[in-house]
Amino acid sequence: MSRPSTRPGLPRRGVLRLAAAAVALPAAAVLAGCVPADHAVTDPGPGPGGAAEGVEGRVTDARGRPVAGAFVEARGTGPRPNPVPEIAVFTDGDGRYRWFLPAGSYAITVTAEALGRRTLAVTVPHGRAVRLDFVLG
Amino acid sequence: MKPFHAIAMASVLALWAAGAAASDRAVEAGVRGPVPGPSAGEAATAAGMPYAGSDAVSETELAASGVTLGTAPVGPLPAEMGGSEVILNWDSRMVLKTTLYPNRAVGLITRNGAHHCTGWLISRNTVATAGHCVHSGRGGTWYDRRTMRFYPGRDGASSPYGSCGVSRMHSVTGWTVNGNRDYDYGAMRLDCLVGNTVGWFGMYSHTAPLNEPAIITGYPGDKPQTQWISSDKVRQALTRQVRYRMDTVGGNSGSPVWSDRGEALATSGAWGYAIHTYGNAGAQYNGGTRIVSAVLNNYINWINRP
Repeated sequence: MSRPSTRPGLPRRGVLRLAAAAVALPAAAVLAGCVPADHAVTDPGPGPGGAAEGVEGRVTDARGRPVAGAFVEARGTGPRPNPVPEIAVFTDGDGRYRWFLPAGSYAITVTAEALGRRTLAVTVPHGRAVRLDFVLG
Repeated sequence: MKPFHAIAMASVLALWAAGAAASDRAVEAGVRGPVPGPSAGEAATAAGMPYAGSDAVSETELAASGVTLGTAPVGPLPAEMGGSEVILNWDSRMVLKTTLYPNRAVGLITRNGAHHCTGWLISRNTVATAGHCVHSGRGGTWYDRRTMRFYPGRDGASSPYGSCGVSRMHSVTGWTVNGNRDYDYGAMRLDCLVGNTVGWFGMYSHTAPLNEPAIITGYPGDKPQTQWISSDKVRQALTRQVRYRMDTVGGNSGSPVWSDRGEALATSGAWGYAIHTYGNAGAQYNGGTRIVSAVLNNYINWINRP
């Protein structure tokens, strides 16, 4: 009896490949979707990033001039106030500030040594930054 | 690349990533004993152990590592913690000598020249801080490390050990992807070796922190870049967080929550077991991220990374 003209083993390797792929694909998908939360990551360097929710705005004096170096504070409000990440937030040279805060209600207080302080209420929606401007003095 | 090979490679990569990230292997970092000094390969051997610092580092060495030297002397041990000016609730006071260990191992983090956060040295060039001090969280952005600097022992306008730039930043996906406060921790690799001079904190996984003395040393944003120390005890111990009653404000994020583990600082050193992260974390308490074993493992890997 003569052997088949095709190379022996190929069909079997093909079956093995398919079987391996059938196991590996779901395993990879499951593992990729279940990366533990302590999975370490390193910053890739400066570059554009995604949007983040929070508060941003500008602080000016009564004459519309920017107030630089004003200290911005946040306090969670409502029946279950949000914790506040305790970053120090100050206005820049153009009076602008930005603070990444999780969605929720906050009282934002801006303090400038010479112009006093003012507090405004704000609700941060999911997924975007809300604008909140202040006029001091 | 053939499809099968791509799938196999993806599987291997996924397995590798999962294995690396899930490592909860025990690390013996809680050994008490004399505060060690650096030796050859100290970054590897001293990971997790405190070091009180040395003033024997030459200016040449520091200059080569990127540090701008200040003029204040390095203080003696053990540390005199602070003054007696109690102006906040509980027990908070301004640190009078930021050139003493462990005060000098705590530093101000600035961003674009402005007060941003607090960090604490855990090796000659690694700083522990909050995750939200390096990344805005939940799909947000890394802060631009080129705009950030670390000032150990900063005292108002005085920077007794100069400042260092940031060459790398780390956090975990629990914070950068999910924005989960339980995983709000991170680190910065400095472009200098200032820890050899000022020392660093030990770091340990405290398995039962309830009622443990809690000391926070940091830079509250409503003070002119001066270092303050607050003390209380752990009033709530959650799986991944500790909570305490202190009067912290924006700028304190990233501060060490530490203790001397019941022994003299000169022999045992200062040990951090949590990272201060939030005001109003719950039930009128402020809170920090607990350094559980998985967190400790990440920090040790970040310290030892070339």
